[in-house]
Amino acid sequence: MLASEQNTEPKTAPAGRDPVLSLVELRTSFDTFDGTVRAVDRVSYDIAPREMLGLVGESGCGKSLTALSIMGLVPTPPGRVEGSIRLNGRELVGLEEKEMRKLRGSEISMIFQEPMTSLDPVMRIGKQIVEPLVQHQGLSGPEARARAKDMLDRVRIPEATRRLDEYAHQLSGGMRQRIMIAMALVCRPAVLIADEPTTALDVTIQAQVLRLIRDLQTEMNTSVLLITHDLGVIAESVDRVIVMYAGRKVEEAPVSLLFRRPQHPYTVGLLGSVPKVNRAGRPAKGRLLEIPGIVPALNQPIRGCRFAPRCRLATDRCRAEEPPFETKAPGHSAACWHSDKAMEIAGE
Amino acid sequence: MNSNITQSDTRPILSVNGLSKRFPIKRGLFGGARKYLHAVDDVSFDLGRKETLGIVGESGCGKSTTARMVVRLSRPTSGRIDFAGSDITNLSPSEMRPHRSDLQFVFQDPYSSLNQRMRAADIVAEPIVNFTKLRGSDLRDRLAWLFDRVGLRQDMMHRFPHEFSGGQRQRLGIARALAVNPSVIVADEPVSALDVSVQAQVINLMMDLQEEFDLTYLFIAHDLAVVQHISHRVAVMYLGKIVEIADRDSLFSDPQHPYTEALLDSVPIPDPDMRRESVALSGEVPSPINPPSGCRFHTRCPFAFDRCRHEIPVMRQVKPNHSVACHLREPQS
Repeated sequence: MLASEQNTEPKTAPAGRDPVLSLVELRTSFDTFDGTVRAVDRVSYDIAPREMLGLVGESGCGKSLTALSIMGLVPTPPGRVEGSIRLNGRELVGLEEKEMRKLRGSEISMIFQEPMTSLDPVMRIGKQIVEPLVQHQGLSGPEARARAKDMLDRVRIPEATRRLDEYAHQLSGGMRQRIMIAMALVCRPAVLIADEPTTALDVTIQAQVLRLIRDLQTEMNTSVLLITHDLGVIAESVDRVIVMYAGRKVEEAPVSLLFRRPQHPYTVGLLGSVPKVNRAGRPAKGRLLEIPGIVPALNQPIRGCRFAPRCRLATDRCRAEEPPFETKAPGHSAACWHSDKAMEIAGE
Repeated sequence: MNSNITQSDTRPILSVNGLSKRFPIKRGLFGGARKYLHAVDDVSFDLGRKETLGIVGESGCGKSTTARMVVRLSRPTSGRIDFAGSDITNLSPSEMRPHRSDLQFVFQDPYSSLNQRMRAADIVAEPIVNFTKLRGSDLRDRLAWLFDRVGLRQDMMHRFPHEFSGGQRQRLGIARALAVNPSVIVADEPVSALDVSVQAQVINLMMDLQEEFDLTYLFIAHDLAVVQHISHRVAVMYLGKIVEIADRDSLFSDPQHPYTEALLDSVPIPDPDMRRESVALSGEVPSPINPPSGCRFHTRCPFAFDRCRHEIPVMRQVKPNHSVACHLREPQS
């Protein structure tokens, strides 16, 4: 409830409130046999303290790779991470792996879509939660175990003491994701990155886990970067949204502004292409809005706007010149030459 | 307009009665009583010509197993399936053959359901060659027409599946299903592996094709919004049973089963001004190996009373074209 009251106010790190995490011109690329793939291309954004920032886009838009770049989990080579990533003022790009390891799990944590692939199948749950506490905070066994139990209570896992001695395979998908959240937050990191945390879960469980993330964010004063393709999840959870397309940031806005008055044709297209559950009777429209075509390959330099080949508003200027990312309304920015007409995409 | 379709064609093209499927589970080293996983339990529904029946539910509810039994990719443990006037429940693969072209299947994962070593044209041609006498230039014309109709370029015919994007592969899967002029297509989560913008393309395509070729769809999905968009009628499954089945608008605007209600309450709404504060349903789906007694939903139902724990509720009609299996909705005696 707190989040929704505040969400009309942009949280773009106002004066006197330094961002917890700050990305400047982040570029993540991979050298392949087919040339250099620019998966994340000059992306900048800030996350304010206690803010929940949503990162939305379709497969291949680079949203997960910005997260992996922040965590220092992009293999280099073949990958290359350039630009600047600052966590509480500290530069992460180029940081030694030894140093990065001290930050992961203590100051910045990440949870993934499929918890089973991130949990150790042959290590008891308790031991996995305790590990970062022993590693980073030097707690003794019993102290750490007490903290782990407390954390399981916080993520609302019943019979926490018994669960500590179980293995991941004994738990359901929803439970596993709760365990992941417990592990990620046990050292009270400044930032939690959640990459599609509910995509593999059923809707009733998804609702529980999203609620949990929001509650814990408030309880533990963590900033959250929520990455998802699901606009419903975005609408329900975050304060501010960034829309990515083909490696570029195309729009950034407080959540209600983005849904009410999108400024980029791609955002308009995304919003129009999802069917919405309508409980009043019949659905509003017969046909879903289509975004024609598919995303461009990223192994060649692209001239002009990357969305132009799929955009009905595209003009010669769009094809020749990349639109700057500029402010269209207070707290609301987009990269489009025709943002004033963006809503026309939804017409017809 | 949608509900009229069923009324004008009264005899269902597909009729499922008391369909069940149990999977035996491996016994321990020293035997012991054999256990079963009750994937689908006593499921019945009719599918009218040219209509779309959506089956929705969470993972493990039996919706995919139901779909696979309907097209006889899986043999039912008990129950009966009638398709276009004949009982196909226990037909052998060769006896099933004459019905195959009329009853097609579209899979969820276009990555694993297409033969990676065949070219696109051969994938679509295979059922045509198997089931019709079309050959040579006639076959090529038919392929060209099919590719065009599902929105694939002609020059893609000679490519392999890995050269296609997810959406294009699903179009290929649809072209293959469409190739032999089926009257019914059973589609199991056909759009859930696709990105949203591409998902919209495929949904629109399926709806266009239905209109053009008078297709009947059995559409399986976990996404309520997609199911609402495409279906004329909707069945909700929970732990192997249909708990509610109704005309779409009636189901979404006036759900009768507490599970349907909870499911609808759980879907995140893409509108930040409509954030919900409470979680609709706590707990998780119990195991189908030892399903709860009585009503299978009673362990999570906020309204469960004593009777729900002992007695299995039967499906009964509570409104026109709207049936539910819930003790709460039974007439007071």
